[in-house]
Amino acid sequence: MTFGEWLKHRRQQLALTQKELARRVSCSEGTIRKLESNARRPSVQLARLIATHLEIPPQQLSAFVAFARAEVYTADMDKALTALGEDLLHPPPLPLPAIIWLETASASHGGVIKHNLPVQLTPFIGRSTELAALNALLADPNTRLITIVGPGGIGKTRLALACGEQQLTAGTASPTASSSSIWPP
Amino acid sequence: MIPTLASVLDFQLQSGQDGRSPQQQLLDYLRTKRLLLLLDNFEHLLSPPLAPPNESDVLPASPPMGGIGGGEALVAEILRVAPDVQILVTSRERLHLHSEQVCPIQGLEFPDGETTSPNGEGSPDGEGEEATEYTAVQLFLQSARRNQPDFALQTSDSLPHLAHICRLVAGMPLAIELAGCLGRHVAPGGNRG
Repeated sequence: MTFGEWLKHRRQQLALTQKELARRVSCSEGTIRKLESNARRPSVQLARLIATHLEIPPQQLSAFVAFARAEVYTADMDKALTALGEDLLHPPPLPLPAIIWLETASASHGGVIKHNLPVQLTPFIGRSTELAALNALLADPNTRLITIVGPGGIGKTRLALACGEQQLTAGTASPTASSSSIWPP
Repeated sequence: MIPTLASVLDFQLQSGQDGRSPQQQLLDYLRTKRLLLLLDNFEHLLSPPLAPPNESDVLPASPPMGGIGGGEALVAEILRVAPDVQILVTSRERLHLHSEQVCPIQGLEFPDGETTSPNGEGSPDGEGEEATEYTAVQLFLQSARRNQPDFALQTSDSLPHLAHICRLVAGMPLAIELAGCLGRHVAPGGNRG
């Protein structure tokens, strides 16, 4: 299935006319027509607006934008994107909201660490320098807020989860601030 | 975001018993906690940037993706009242808070198709072992082997193509995983469509 076909299908599922969808995402009806006939691809901004109005779960936004823009498009990629499109049509049940917490050892819990880190299904690859830098930052109690910034699909979530796992493994993060904990690593 | 946070933290918000707002109740709860909070995809919770002039009357009243905007204000409040809470955020945009440590990340490391090792010590005829030092190659192989357990990289033939794929997507893991899943359908050499 191409993105255009998918878009049309999803729009009709939600009982939206081309005109109505165009109004909601603030583009012309002609643009929607061209998208549905695969004559053009949406900008990132437009793809995100479309995702909003076609009720794509936030967890799938990156995949959706990549699908819509076919940024890595080759004829062979079509099959993978089709599978992805089917996932979008029949999304798996939403996991818990994307908030993970890790309660580090405190006297009130007798040193027990509580957390809700999800189990990852595939091994985490690479990012050793980034992980080391994040761990060093977190070891400093003065670092209160760290933002991993990057475009969709770059691996921010996976890196954050891997960092959480390492913090969990390390148990109580010993407050030994590293003076070399400067980003980029 | 407040009800979500409370429910994930398994904290029961009370409805107006003592006149404290839900936000105040949550902040009071967090005040003594020693926590690492991971807030994923935070861009949905950020206050929207100033809307382009002609869009404001067309966009719906509710912000995109069910977000509520203003998430950064809550984060700032948590940091202010809860000294032992650290927050790790992933977002496409930074939060622009004073105490924020921004960590930009790039794509994975990939071979340039000329050399086969990150140290530049290989040659175009090198063995796959050197290519697999690149994290992008490792991810590609992991994805490919999920569909085809015996998938092997024929270095001299396939590596330039794999390098080409990696370069096209700037080492982006999501795209490399998608490409890797195609291993069942096509060898890297035939992947140019």
